[in-house]
Amino acid sequence: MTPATERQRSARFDGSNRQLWLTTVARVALGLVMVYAGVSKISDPDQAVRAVQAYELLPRGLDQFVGYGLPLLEVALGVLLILGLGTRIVAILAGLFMLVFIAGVGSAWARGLSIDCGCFGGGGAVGSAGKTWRYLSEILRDLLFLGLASWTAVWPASRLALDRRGIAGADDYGLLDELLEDEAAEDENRIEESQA
Amino acid sequence: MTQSGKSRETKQSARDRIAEERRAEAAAQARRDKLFRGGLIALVLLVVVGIGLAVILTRKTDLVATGARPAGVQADGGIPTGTASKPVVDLYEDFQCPVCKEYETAFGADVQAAATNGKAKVVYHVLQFLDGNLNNDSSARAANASGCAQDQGMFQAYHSEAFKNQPATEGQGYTDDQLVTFGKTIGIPDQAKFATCVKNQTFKGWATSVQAEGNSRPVTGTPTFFVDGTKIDFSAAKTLADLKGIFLKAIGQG
Repeated sequence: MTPATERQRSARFDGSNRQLWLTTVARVALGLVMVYAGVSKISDPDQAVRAVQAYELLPRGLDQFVGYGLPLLEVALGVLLILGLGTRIVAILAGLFMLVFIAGVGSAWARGLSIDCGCFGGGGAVGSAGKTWRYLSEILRDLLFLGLASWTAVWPASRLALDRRGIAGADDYGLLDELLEDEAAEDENRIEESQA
Repeated sequence: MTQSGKSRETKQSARDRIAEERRAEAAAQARRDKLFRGGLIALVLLVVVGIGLAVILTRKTDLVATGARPAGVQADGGIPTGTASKPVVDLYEDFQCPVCKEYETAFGADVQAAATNGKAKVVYHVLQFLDGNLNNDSSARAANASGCAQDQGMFQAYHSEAFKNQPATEGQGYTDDQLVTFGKTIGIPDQAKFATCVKNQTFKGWATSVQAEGNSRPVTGTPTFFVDGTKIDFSAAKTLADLKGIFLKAIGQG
């Protein structure tokens, strides 16, 4: 029998309680941010479309599609992160969102536009005062969120998640083998006892 | 404790059998879990998209232009001023927009002068998109009121007066009484007609059509100036005092 400390660890679970709680904090924080960001856009859809137009990246017609659709996706991903459902794939998608946002803000900056990112509602053209700091802080903030998403994608196993055993998919975390081993050890004991 | 070879063999096969059963049961459970989790994810997506779409559809504004239009407005709803025919300056503003007030204070008089002196045709487009941000209807009411002033030939004076008295706190909004008082201050000829026009929002449909035209351009913020269709880039301005020079240069008077 292999001692617990020598069991092969799954790539999704570094085996420490600390990692489980850190991922829990990371995914819930990121989820709350995404829900908040999405809801503030949904509550003013016309403004959301204007915010998209202000980037001057999308052709007419698509801007409305993105202005309405993007916040819906944000809220959906956020809710899934908070519930801890499909954690890894959702975290990867959330990370891709952040990359797109960073690219969008960066391109607006590079083209000399003076806009508000519209990240949490609002958006559109604004005065150019404090432009550098505004763009920089928006990108830094998105990088922080990208960090949370990356952490969660690398170590998706966490506490208080619907993904966990009991409701669903312990095998996804490689926890299943450990559970099987624990149960095999119990069987061993029982067989020993019955034959003693 | 000694054990016979036979008993060891039985023990080993029992162990294997139980382990095999457990593995099969665990695999079946994993499949059920996966299905259940997929169902839950689909449910969350459906609920979020359903509720979100319902909110979006109820909150988005359908801009339908109906009803009366102030005298002398263009087909696109813009208010033309001045005697010149070119260059055409299209100016998009929202009466609740603080930056518009800054621009108006910095060189609004020069814009009006350019129209009055025949140096440019200045067309004002009074938008109302800030109502959505600020959760009031003050921009729409102010836009309507400026239409009421235009109807009696006094748009420019009304425009200046309204910006001069813009509520100090963004979101506070103009009251109807204030909007009527501005008309008195600038001396609109038919006060009673003006007050009724403001309170009944006679030109509400026209004001809506102005916003719709702005959206379709698209104008994404205010103030926005176009000279013969080209947006003026004010980003080089270091101070408010620089704005006037950029504007005059853009209309060929710099």
